Amino acid sequence: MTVQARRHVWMGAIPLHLHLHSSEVTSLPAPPPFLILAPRNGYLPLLVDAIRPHFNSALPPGSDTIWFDYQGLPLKWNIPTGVLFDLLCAEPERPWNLTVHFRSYPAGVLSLCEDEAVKWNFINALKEAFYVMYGNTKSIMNMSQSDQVELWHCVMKGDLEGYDRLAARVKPAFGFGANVGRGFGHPPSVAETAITNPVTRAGKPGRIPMRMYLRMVDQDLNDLFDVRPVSSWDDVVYVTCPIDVPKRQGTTLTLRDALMKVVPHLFSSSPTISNEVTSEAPSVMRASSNAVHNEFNGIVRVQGIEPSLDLPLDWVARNLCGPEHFVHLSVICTLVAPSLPPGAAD
Amino acid sequence: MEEAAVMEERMGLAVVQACRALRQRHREEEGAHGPALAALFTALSRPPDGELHGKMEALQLELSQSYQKQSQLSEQLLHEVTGAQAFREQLVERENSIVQLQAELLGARGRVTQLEEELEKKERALEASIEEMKALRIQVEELDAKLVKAQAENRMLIDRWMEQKMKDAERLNEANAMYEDMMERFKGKTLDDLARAQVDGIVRHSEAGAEDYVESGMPTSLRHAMRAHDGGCSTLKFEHGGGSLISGGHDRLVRTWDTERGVPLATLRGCLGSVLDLAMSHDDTMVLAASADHKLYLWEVQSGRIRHTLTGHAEKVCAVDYSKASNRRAVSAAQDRTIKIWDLQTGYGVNTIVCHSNCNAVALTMDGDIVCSGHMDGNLRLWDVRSGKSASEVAAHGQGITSVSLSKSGNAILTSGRDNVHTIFDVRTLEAQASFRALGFRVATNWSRSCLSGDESYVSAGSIDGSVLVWSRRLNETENSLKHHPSAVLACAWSNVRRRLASADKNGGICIWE
Amino acid sequence: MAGIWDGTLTAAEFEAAALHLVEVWKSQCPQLPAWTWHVYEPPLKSPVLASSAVGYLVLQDVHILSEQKVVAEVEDIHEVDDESQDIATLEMSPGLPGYEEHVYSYHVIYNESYRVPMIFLQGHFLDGTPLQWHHVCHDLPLDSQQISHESRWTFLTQEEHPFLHRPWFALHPCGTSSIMSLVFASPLSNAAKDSSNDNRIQDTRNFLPSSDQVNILPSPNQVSVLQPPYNEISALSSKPQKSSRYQEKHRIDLMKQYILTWLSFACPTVGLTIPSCVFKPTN
Repeated sequence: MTVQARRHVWMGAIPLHLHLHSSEVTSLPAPPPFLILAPRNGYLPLLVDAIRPHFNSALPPGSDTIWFDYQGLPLKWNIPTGVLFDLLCAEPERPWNLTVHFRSYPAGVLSLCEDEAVKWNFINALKEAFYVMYGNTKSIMNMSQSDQVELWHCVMKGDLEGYDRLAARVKPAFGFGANVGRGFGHPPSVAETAITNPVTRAGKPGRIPMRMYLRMVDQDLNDLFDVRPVSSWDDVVYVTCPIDVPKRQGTTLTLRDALMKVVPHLFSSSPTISNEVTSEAPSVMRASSNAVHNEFNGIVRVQGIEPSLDLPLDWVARNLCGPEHFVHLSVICTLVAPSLPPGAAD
Repeated sequence: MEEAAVMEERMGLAVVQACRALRQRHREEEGAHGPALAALFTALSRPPDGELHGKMEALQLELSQSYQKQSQLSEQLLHEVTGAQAFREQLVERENSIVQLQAELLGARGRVTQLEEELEKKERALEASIEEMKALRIQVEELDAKLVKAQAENRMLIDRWMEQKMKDAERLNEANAMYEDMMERFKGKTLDDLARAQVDGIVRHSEAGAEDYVESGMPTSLRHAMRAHDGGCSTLKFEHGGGSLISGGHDRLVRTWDTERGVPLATLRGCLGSVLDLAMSHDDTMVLAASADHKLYLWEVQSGRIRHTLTGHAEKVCAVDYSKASNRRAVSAAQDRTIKIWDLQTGYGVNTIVCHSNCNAVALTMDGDIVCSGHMDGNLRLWDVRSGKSASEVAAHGQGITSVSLSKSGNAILTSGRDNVHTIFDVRTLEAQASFRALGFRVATNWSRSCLSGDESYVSAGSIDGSVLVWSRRLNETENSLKHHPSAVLACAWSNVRRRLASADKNGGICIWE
Repeated sequence: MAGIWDGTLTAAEFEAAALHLVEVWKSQCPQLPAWTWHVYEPPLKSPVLASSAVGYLVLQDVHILSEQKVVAEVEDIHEVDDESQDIATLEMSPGLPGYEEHVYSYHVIYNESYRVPMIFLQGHFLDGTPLQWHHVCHDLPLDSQQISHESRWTFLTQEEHPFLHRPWFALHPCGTSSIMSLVFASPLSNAAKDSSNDNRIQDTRNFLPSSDQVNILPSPNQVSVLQPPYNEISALSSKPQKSSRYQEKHRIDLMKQYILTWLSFACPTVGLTIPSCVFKPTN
């Protein structure tokens, strides 16, 4: 089941309904909109080769760099497509209506996308994830150029088997073929814990690489049909927030715990939890999980699903992450005045 | 451990839930849309139906071609239409111009006929006038002939008349000569000069003179006393042929007087300075005055108009004399030691004689060729008018000469000098013939004028004490002393016609004695 | 077991070090453009994350004269369409032919993943047009330029500015921690027993490179090979229970120097000058 879940994650794709921006239409009649499936864990610029031929005849002369916008907001290409969809479409619209541009790249808002920028963005993210998990980037550095290139191609093509194969070559614990057999309900063995809770040589516990995207709306979360779309990236907060994993066995963090660490103010009457979990006794952890389930005033989406907050974090980290090993959480919350409980920030 | 188990169960549930959610999503997203899109693509990418496509292309080609043709044709049409328009406009213009020209032509023709008519008329008129002219010419010729004849007759008559006149004259002359002889023989002392005038066959004044000849006698009484001028009156002259007197004074006026009644006749104005000397032409028509403003003025007596103003002297003109031969010549002397001879026709000076001593008085001889001048050095000089050269000179007085006057006959000159002596010279030989002086007589000024009577028997001069003295030449003694003037007498003059004597004084009064 | 300090620092330590830097800078070299600490204030309506770092260091408006003679050919390829952008015709600094003036801003921001500070930079021409990657690259010191040409995507990259959400250029932080751990290693271990603070700090200073040294940033590949030696900090950190108050204070003081130290090799990489007077011990 987990395996299938992972495959679903890997194969996820969003139908896009693209039409060319009116200022760039130079042929009559205007070209019809283009429908394409975009992989959730891919990036929008990678679709250019499929999209461009369709609109080529209508474009004005000149050089072109592809970029997309959703309801006026230029889409940042270094965020995976699925994340964008989960974040910006409060009510998922399938197919997703996007406007494609080939001219006037908004260099003030989007970073330049040229040549192999996307690939290197992926590789740097992978490095960062590794650093977060293991404390060093040796494994990546040790990969040969050709391996890196091939890894990237697997990602682009959506070739899961190839990816797993390459990954296993790099580091045994890399990739999740090792966990295929892990069923549910067994208490994690020490070995497994060691594997699943990677620890740096310095003895500091590894962390889970996570990115959270937070968006505020002024509507009731149950009725998001008419919500105002995001008009500028200033309205979205996104941070890279590695979550520390407790060293001690027997304690598993849930999604809820992660959220509490990062956005405690979205919980009503949430108790404070300090980051330095290591010094806390396990009893404290238990106490938190025992407490009355605090209401979370928001919607969390990962890979297109809204999981229950009780999901174990490491399951999330292994199965719901992208090919660069980051977990992207899209959070939509209502306009609650953020009141940081005292001492929450460390 | 229960809590852990509960936790685990919950987590397990969550995992299952998550997997189910993922499946759901898969179904909704790529599961549903993928095949649809794929089908769409295959539909779109199927190669288009060859035949239809071909037909469509062909039709499109035809359409575009026909469009092209249509555009070409419409262009041509436009071109033609504009051309036609242009032609029409030209045509209209031409018609207009034709109409205009026709009208002009009509007008021109009308004018032509008009002109032709006028031309005919003019020609006829011309012929008529030619005829007239011919007739007139004939007349003229006739008249000319008559004129010639008349002139010839006239000449003849004149010649005859002249002859008659000459004959008369001869008879008269004879009679006169006889009378003269008689008179001379009878009297033996008085001379009468009848042949003064030039004899050119026409006898003029000699007749008048002959009838009016009166013997001059000694004036004894005052006939008139007149206030003549403001200021002094320094010169007096009687008319040659009449009884009028002209006087010139310091008030710049020249006055003419009737001595019979003692009233002024006319006043000649124009002088800008005091009148220092006067001379009258021998025919009494012109008066010449010498003025202190260095100029001489020539008046016509009849009109009183100034004929000429003679300029040239640099100083006061103190003496002037008119020629008795012609009206053209006069002589003047000024304080600039020059004597100028003037041509009064033109008004220009003819000659200038420079002498080293100032001349106070001049007189021209009867023939007008010789100038007699009296100078401050006491010499009397004779000059030839034409050449301007000195002819002769004689020392007349010890002091300056104040007056020179010629006798009526022209043979004798009377000179007065500051030595209070009057001397008569013979003109030709310059010998002193007589001299007169008196006790208590003193000449008033440098330019006091004395006078010789017409028959050369009396000499008069004015004295500084206001008396006029008359000497008899025959008796060579003072005959009379006339007293009336309150101040010095500056000039006196004998009348040629009556027995009168006029004198002028420093106050401007004139006395007429008889 | 002896722990080894891995060259990273926490967000709180980052803030402390940053404030220390601002103070030192102000007192030692007030005539230079100053580093300031900006507290991040999110716009009113946008969401706030609890754990985000509170602020960052800012150095504004540094004018850099950039030689333009050599690279003209390379630039022309990019600027074909836009004649007015041609480098050769841009406004020249008065009196300096062949030079242009670029204005840079530098931000030092704490990176959560790598747990080290990162230097972000942004530049523009005098007329306000933003600088492209190759312009910025061209303004770097020669060694840096070489490295950036070799590792096109892993040295100077265009990233999202975490606070301003705009694309800025940044130095990739992957080598930072290794170097920092190296730097703070030492002869320090010997002096650990010495109770005098000053000595320690002086020795630290001796060990630090001066600003005259051009780039000492080793390539990323080399760094990973080095073994972080025993250093006092790791020694301190691995025995938290036994740390005396004194040692704790010592560690805190040392960590305050972190940013200064880091800047001493980060600045030359980017071409910023840092005067050596800031490294003098403050009495």
